[in-house]
Amino acid sequence: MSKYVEKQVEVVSSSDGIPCSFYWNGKWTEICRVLELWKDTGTWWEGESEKTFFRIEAAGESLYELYLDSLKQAWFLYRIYD
Amino acid sequence: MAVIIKHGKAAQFVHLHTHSPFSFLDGAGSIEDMIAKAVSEGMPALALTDHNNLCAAVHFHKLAVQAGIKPITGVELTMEDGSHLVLLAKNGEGYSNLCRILTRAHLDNPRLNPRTRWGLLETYNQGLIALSGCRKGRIPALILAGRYQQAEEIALKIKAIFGKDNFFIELQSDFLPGNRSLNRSLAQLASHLGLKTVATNNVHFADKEQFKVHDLLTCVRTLTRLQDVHRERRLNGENYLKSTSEISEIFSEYPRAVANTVKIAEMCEPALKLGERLFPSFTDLPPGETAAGYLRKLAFDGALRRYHRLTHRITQRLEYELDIICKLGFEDYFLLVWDVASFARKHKIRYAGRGSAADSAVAYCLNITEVDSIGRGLLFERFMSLERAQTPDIDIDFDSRYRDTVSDYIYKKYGADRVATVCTYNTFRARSAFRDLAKAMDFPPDDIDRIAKKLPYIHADQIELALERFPEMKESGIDSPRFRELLRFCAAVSGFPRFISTHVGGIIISRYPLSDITPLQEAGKGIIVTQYDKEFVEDLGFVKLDLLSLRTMGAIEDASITIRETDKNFDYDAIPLDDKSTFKMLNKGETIGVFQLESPAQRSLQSRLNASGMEDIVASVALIRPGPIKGNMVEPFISRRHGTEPVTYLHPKLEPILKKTYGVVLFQEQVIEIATAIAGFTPGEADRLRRVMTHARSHREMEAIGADFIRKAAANGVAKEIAETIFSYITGYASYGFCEAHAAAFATTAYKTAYMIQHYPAHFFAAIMSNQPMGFYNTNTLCVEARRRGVTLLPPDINLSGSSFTVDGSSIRISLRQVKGLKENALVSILRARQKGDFISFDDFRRRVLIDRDILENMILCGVFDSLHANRKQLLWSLTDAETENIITSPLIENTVTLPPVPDFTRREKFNYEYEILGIDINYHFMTLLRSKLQEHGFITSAQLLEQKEGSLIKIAGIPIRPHRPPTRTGKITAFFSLEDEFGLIDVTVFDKTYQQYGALLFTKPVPPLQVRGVLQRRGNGVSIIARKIGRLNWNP
Repeated sequence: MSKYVEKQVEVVSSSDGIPCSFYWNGKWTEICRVLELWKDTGTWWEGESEKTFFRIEAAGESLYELYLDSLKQAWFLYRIYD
Repeated sequence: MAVIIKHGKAAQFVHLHTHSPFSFLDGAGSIEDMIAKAVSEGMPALALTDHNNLCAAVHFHKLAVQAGIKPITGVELTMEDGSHLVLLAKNGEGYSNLCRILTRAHLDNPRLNPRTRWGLLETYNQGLIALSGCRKGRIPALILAGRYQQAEEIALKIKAIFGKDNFFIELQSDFLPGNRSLNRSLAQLASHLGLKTVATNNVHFADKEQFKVHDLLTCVRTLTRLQDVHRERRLNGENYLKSTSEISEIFSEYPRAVANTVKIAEMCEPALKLGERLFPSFTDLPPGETAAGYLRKLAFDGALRRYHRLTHRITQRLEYELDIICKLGFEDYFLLVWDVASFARKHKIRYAGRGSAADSAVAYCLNITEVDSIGRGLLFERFMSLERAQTPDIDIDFDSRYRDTVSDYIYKKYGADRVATVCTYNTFRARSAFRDLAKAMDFPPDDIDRIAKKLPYIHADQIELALERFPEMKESGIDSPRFRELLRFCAAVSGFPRFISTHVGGIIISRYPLSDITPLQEAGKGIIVTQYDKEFVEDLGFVKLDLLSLRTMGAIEDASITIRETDKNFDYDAIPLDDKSTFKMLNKGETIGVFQLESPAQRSLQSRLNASGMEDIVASVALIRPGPIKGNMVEPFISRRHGTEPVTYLHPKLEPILKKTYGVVLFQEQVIEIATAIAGFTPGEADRLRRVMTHARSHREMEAIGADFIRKAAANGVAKEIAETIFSYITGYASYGFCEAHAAAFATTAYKTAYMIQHYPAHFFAAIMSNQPMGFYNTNTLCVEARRRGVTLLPPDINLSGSSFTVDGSSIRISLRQVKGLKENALVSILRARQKGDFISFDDFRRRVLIDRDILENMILCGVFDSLHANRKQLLWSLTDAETENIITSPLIENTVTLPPVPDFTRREKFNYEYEILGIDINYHFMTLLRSKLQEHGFITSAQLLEQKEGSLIKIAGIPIRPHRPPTRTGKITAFFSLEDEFGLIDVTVFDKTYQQYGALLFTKPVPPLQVRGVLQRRGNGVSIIARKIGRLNWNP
């Protein structure tokens, strides 16, 4: 099961743009590894910008999906897996 | 094996899985753009792997070689299970196998659904490298479905087919969900089976920005709109031609997969061999005879027949031509064409050679063409020369009814596996791009339809220009950022192919089985076509033979037959070419119905040119073309022809080229000669120019040639402005100019049809009405002209009308086929029943012929039964309910005996029905009904025009015919149309200012009857009107 979040979050990323940790629920969460990475242009005809999604594994084997909005240059927590 | 070195560095990456627009709505980057990007990235090679076709292979090969990179020919196959597999040709054998595989994939499956059997790959596995494909590949798909074991089995199967060294597992960088784990699994599988991996990007466009265009094309392909979800739509724009550094970064975990791309490129050599001799030897040679010897014999025998005696000049010319034909190795080709022409003659199928072949005396003596090139001073070098060594192109027009009989003969003679029709690519033009993309973008259907109908026939990247220039477009009512975005997308797909269709007449005959050399597939109507178009088959080495359908040939044949019924001595082939009364008719501009000379512009030209010989008609045919018109050369030509204006040349080098045509560029050959003289074009460059002109391949390509021309002309000492002006003439010629020989061939037919109209108007007009659609005008306008010439039009009659229009003295009887809805089988049953005796009553007809009620109603309403029963309304009453349901009628019909006295339709009602059903005003023209009222308001008729003074202000009215806007040099628009009244046509010219005010009336369908106020202009023997005001004629008769 997963929970849809879609909230902007603070992210610390490496020089090549890979997220290392993110701030959620009042604390920084360390990212152990990136499991998957994909890009989605969404509804470009309505002005939506490209998003780069990261499915990441954090400490305690918890799974999250983050995305970077290329236009806003902002990170969002997209989904949390139970 | 040598390591490919590019720009001094060892190459690092090559794209091996690339789609062009020839993946048909699944590729959005032009081949030119992709090659340019590969070159700029220092890539030593590029592969092209379109879906199930090699259409772009020749074009790609040429461009890549020109750009200095290695072309790798490949394809992405759709397998029998729907999965994809990429194949690359390592060499010529691999290329032939690709052709064989694709041919079977297409011809063994329903049209548009090619599928390759796995077993077929075992047969044709040599010279090929296989890549496992995209996510639709069998192996990746099985892995994604969690069926790893089966994926391995398939991999082993493919490995067994192509060999371990010729099969690579593809890793892709498409940034789709699951991509990382998929690549990991694929790499693991490869390692486990001892296979190598290869990095690809499944390229579908050159730059990331083109993703939107690709997405729209996908919507067009899948018949969806942008907001619809479809699995074919791509999630992101990552399938672009990525740079080496991007690829290296993405595949940092798989450096060998990247390096293997270069190794594969090294394993492949350019697989296409261009310029091979592929046409067959002529096999029906007399014993002991060579092809060259037999051709010589036939040519000289034919010369004796044509000229009656062989002068030194004739002999010398034939020897000269035969020497070049044989040195270039085309003696078999000439014999082959001669054989086809002989077949047509033997079977009395009328034909005439057209095109540059008319430059050849040998072709004339072989009865391939009808133009005496020696007599007319036409140069053979324009058709064939040792310097250019280009393939000859012989086009023949056949009576359209029997064209397929001729092609059947060729198929039977050379074998269906060695003969195919050449394909053509239907490309996005303004209207099709607008319709397709607007629909995908979810514009309202009514808006799409309304605007699309108004779009002229222009390139898809010229719509914005049309919006600015054409008043009916200005009124389109849509001007929003989204609309502008749509137009940008239209421009982006301009010229992209949409689908394959059949070339109008091009056939190739091959020495070898065709499927070894070109993939074949089925086009519409079950015709087997090559995947290469006429330009590409020529590049490969085929010689195309154009067997064209020309309805004029049918009309000539029909008229000749009926004329001979009354004038046994009539011989079309012996029509005198100097008939004074025919030239007199031409000089009056009375040329409606004359082949090639009937448009308003031609009629106007004829009335001013005072043609006195065939040379003038040849010039006429070439003169009224967009090139000379755009070049503003029509008026100077006429003045110079009459000696009222000095002949001038833009540059002294043009004089020897243009002297014959008074300094005017008339013929394609002159353009080539100018390019050589002014810009020093090499034969190869000149040939490229000829191809762009002839095939209208790309207006962008024309611009590129223009830049070369101007640069080279400047280097040759020609002032830039003069070079630009000269090239502007050349640009106008692109795809529109005639070569002199072609103009001469058409002029011969034009003159002879004029002769037939002058001497046998009823016969010829009946023939052209029977062969519609053809020519410039519809049947009703032809009827007006026939009447003007004193021919009476007789109504259709159940006992007197035939299947075609027939001649009855000086009258023409309307055919039964002209009745709307009357199909061939019904027509045949009527004529068969009539063979047993005339119908004596309407009931008698119904007893003897079973016919659908709706057709019967049409026949009644347009008067077909008037001679049996004059009251049409009463006949309608007699139709029973059984006929309403198209149930077989009783054999004892006697319905008309007991009919109540019903008053018939009024004269006006009958008129309306007749026009609606026959498309003809039988007894009088629509304008007759308005004439008295028009007279009251000061309108004059077309017949009264000649009495009016030059410059007088007049009012005219009529039905607008064929409004059109030919290109002009200044870019300002001048529109032309004719107003048809009961006495004939009045030609109207609408200059830009008036056009901007009233143009929408002319180019918004349906065009209503119009009234025009304007100034009368006399030019030569003709009269026309310069419009000042145009309005609807809102009067009810």
